[in-house]
Amino acid sequence: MTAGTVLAAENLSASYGPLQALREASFRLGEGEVVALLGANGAGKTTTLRAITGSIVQVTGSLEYTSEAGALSLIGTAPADAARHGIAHVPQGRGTFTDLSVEDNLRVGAMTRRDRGEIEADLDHWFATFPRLKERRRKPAGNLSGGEQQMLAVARAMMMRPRLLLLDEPSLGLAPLVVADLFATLGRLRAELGVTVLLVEQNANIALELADRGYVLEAGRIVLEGTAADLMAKDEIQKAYLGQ
Amino acid sequence: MDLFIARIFDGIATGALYASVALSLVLIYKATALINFAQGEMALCGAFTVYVLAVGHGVNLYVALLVAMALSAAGGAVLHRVLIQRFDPRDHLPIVLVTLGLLLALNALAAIVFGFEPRRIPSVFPRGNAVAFGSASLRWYTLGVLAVSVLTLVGLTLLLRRTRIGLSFRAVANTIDSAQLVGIRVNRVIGVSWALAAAIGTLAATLYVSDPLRQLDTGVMERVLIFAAAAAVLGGLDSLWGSLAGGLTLGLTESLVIGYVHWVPPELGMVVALLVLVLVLVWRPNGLFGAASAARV
Ligand SMILES: Nc1ncnc2c1ncn2[C@@H]1O[C@H](COP(=O)(O)OP(=O)(O)OP(=O)(O)O)[C@@H](O)[C@H]1O
Ligand SMILES: [Mg+2]
Repeated sequence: MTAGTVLAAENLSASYGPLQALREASFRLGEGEVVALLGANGAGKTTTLRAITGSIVQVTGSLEYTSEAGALSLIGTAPADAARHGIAHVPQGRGTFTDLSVEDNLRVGAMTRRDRGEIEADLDHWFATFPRLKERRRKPAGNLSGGEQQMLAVARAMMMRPRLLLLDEPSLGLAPLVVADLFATLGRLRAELGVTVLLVEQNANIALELADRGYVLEAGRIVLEGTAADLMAKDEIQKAYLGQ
Repeated sequence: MDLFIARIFDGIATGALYASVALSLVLIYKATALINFAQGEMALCGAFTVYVLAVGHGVNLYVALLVAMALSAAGGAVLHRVLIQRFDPRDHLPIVLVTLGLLLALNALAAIVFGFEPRRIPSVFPRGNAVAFGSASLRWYTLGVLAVSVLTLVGLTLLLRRTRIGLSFRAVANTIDSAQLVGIRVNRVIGVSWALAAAIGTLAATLYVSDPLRQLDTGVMERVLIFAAAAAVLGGLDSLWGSLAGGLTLGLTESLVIGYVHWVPPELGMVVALLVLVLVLVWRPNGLFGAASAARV
């Protein structure tokens, strides 16, 4: 493994019973990189993220993760342990704690941390970043709009101070303007925080604008990879995702 | 009039205890959306533990109660660990069947060890009356159980609202998948709620049978569990304060109906309680205090 690699997957496969949803995928995330994972409905994007955090059990291949504490294999770890190793996973559908207040959603994101004072400081930081969340901090998070919930999901994940952030289709179900706003914020965050991001999207255009590199999944296999600029220029991507 | 007041007080005392047992049901329900049907029999074992310590071995009653609550908490955590944790908390049927099996097993165990002869537990509260209204009187027992129920409720509310474990508990109660992803060890949190529920159940059962008008026997908790479950549903199943309201409503209804409607024999008290339950649920499907869960997007 090269220095500065956060996650390296080799021949990663994952199944739901008889259905193999991910087939021998190999990919790598460098420290501080934003990597897009693209693909149509059912291509296996969510499955890839679930394999990384251990939310799906039938996983084979190798999955080497390097944290500050050293290298370890993520095969067979439980989701709660992935979080403890610094991997924040915003699931598809945002995973909002709908009955908890907005503030409690953020606090729960910091559950793996013990540094009280710093947690309070981070809370203030995220309320400053997303003033809409601050206005509604005591309201149940389930009452937020879709866009607000996505911002909350990102902030909740960042409250962990993760080393690796996994985002599953943050644009899903949001109006174009809201998506633009969200990605602008993500763009600012990447410069600010230097967290490594694996960004799952069907919306290739907007994902590649943010990402350094990308992989394209088709029926569980990685069929294309390259820098964001290369992928953007590829005919297949243009046809498959950009409707041109 | 005096008789009426006396019946109100009786209803409050019994209702407060239904509420405490309901609280232990609600605690586990909030974490897992499941009713632990063995809760009553677990509490029965706790009350027998108090009996063995206090009456059998002459341990101070309050020490015996605290020890029994601690043992129950440990027992609750172990039962969860050994019997419940092996099942996916999202898959309800196997767990419900296990708790039903546990109900029967614990009841049989108590019968084998203690037989069917009723026992007496010394009164936890001073005997006699705190205040008298004419010939009606408010017993220390009634005041005591009401105070204990309310204090338990306040304590639990603070635990859930103000502490880290409380926040984990509320997160698990809301959505298990997301709770795992933020690093919460879900099974541990559910185990803690089993421990707490068991301790509260033992407290409630001991207070229930320590009424000088009642006795401890292996059948005593069946009835209490049914009333407590009804109280929990009445309160909305996921509301702590709702279980107090539900418990008091049922305790009062039972006491007044049996007291005044003479063609209803005492044995039918339970049916009356269930009738109230059905009526309330028709009027308010989420119970008196149940929040219709916020929209899940
Ligand atoms: N829990 C599950 N049980 C069984 N099969 C599943 C499960 N989740 C996903 N699948 C199947 O696995 C395949 C890959 O699904 P996955 O959710 O990874 O796709 P995706 O790329 O995330 O799609 P989308 O863009 O629609 O979210 C699909 O064929 C899907 O039907
Ligand atoms: Mg998906």
